[in-house]
Amino acid sequence: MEQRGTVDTGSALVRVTRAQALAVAGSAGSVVALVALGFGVTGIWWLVIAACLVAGLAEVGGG
Amino acid sequence: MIGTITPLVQGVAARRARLTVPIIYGAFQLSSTAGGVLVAVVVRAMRGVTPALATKLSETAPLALSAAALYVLAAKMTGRMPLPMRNQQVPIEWRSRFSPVRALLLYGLVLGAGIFTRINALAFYLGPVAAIIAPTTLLGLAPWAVFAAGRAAVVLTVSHVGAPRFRDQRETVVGWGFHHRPELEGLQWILMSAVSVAGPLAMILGQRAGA
Repeated sequence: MEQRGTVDTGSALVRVTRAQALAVAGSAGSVVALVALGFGVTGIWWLVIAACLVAGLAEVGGG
Repeated sequence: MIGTITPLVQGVAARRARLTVPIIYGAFQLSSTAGGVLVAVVVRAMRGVTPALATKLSETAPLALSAAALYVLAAKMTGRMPLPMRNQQVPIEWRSRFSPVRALLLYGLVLGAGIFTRINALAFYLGPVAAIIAPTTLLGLAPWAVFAAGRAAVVLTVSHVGAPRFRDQRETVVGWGFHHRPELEGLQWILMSAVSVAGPLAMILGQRAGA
């Protein structure tokens, strides 16, 4: 997600810009949001909890 | 962080009898989760200062969460918007100043709280926002608690799983964390985008259900 870098797709290395990365994340996020809200209004809270869990796991090298 | 705590966990685990290893790991996991819950309780207690405003905020919680997620994403994208954090790591001298078990518990509390150390994970900021605006106490405390639990769990996983293979290669163990960070960061971007989209939609759905 940094300015410009490489993303390992598994089969090849592709270069992406931040805008492209955000577009992909936004598209995927929109789908995830619709699925979550399919379970009701409280779906947004499940998204928040999931995001915080991933944040904790991602803090492996920080702090 | 892992460079500080992994040797401590391994050292404590190695010195104890086999049966107590899970207890040590469990104590670190619990202390970290407790650190997260404690600061969430303190932040949530601030609602008592202006209860009327707190109630108003809770009514528009999805929008506030959406706005917070968008702000953090924009701040990370541009690098020009402030994101509050205490830009310090856990004090390494605790390893020598305190007994191993006490140091582990202290590290757990501080790391679980999150606000006392450097924050790399963008989704962390949803925890404090949720603690203030959530309509129920459970929803207010849960995000911060799972952040703290996840943070401790990954340290213990690296310490335990990585230790036998890389006992003398601490940098390799630390590298494991950095190697997997891009995937987890990408997942956070997706989930933060999802929260920012879901906020307005949840408000519309809520109003339709109430009508």
